[in-house]
Amino acid sequence: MKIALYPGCSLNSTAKEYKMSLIDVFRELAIPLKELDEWSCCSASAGHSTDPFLTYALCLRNLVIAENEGYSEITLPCAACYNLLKSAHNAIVNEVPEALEANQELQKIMKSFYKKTLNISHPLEVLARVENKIIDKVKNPLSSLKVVPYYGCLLTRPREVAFDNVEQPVLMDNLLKLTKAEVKKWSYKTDCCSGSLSVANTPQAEKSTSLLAEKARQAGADAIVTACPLCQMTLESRQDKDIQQIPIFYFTELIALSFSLDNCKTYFEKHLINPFSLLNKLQLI
Amino acid sequence: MEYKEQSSFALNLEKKSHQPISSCFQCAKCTIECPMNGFQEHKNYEILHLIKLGDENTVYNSSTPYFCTNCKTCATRCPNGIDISKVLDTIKIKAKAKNRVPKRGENSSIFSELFLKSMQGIPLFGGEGRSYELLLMALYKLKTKNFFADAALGKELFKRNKLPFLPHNAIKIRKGEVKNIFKIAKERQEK
Ligand code: SF4
Ligand code: SF4
Repeated sequence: MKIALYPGCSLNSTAKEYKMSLIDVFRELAIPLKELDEWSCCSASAGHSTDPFLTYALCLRNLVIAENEGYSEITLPCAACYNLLKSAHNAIVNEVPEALEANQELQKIMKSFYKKTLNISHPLEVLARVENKIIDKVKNPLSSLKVVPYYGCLLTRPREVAFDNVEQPVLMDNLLKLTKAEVKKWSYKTDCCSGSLSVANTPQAEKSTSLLAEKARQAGADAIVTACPLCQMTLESRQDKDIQQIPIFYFTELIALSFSLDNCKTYFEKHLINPFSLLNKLQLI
Repeated sequence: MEYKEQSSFALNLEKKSHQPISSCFQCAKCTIECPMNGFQEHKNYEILHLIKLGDENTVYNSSTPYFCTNCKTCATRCPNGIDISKVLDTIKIKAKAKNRVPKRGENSSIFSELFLKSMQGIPLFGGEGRSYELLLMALYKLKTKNFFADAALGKELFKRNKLPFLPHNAIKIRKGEVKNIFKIAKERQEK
């Protein structure tokens, strides 16, 4: 069954390498994926801090399109989009008044409403279902690379939307182990990077990201691996510039690298913190 | 201040945020784990207590709601199932409607407002339904009069082709739906 891809705004701008590597990895694993036609922005943190009704309506609009196009699963690589669309789905299931109202209004606007049939997933979950296929494809084991997986907030909280253990998620750890990368233990995998306030309250974001980078280094990691375009962007752009910066990868990029896919260089050229010296040193590229 | 069992302010916020504010017993778990507690003017548990006391002025004047990153740690830790970030969102919404956003909260309030504006498209250029980073950043700089912040970052993103110059014109068949959603939301707020 084809899965709908809801890329979200970031994957067409600041996180282009995430979109490219995600599509490449899915293609390599023969998982059918198609970008949802005519999708619209989920409104991110601007929406829910302004008007819950508006946020529900904007999120549900996308779910209605996916249902009408005959999809049974929609996958969202951005943690913020994932969280909001899944919360909107849950709010319909739990009959939250603003969500029900929004759904009624969509009937007027789109001549259709959300019928709660979709499985809303993050690509980490989709890939976790095909572990054996991944193992078969690894040609360039990343054994020399030491990483810490970073889940951040919105994939693991609150409980109702989390796809893994709230306190100790392991899906990404497991996937990275398949690439043979050395996955280091650390206590910061679900701490906040302050991404949603990266522009409006920059000092706060600088403090959070520098702490994360420091803790990753202390854990013995050469890089942090993320599953969210906002975390990646915040960790790259707000990390302390006075000390040696630590590269930030998307999990899909590292899987692509372990598959020796052709486009890997193109992804890494898009990074703000250059990962080439590390990857060259470890002879992985 | 006179202590009432449940202030009308608390009841109203409880209803609007769908959070059981009255069951807060001041254990401060939501505060210890909050990554922003070092930046907060009032700690989370203090905000909850002020709400229960009905001290509207202090709550509206506090910058705490505007420093919340919506990380949901508080919601996960609270033994009474209170999602404090939803309470803080509700305070922001009410403050905005009453024109009472405090000075230290202005930046994040402006950012949200412009974000929503940028996804409604621009006349002639289109772009309905997707956020438009360049317009968002330009307007944000104009409004906050902080022209130099992140100029270097913008340049780096531009070089890497990560900051599209034109708005994303991807909604072609279902035009107007997003605009209608915004219109209805606005009418609903004005009611
Ligand atoms: S959601 Fe907001 S209040 Fe709650 S822990 Fe995170 S930053 Fe603190
Ligand atoms: S964790 Fe819950 S009960 Fe404890 S102080 Fe915070 S809101 Fe109150």
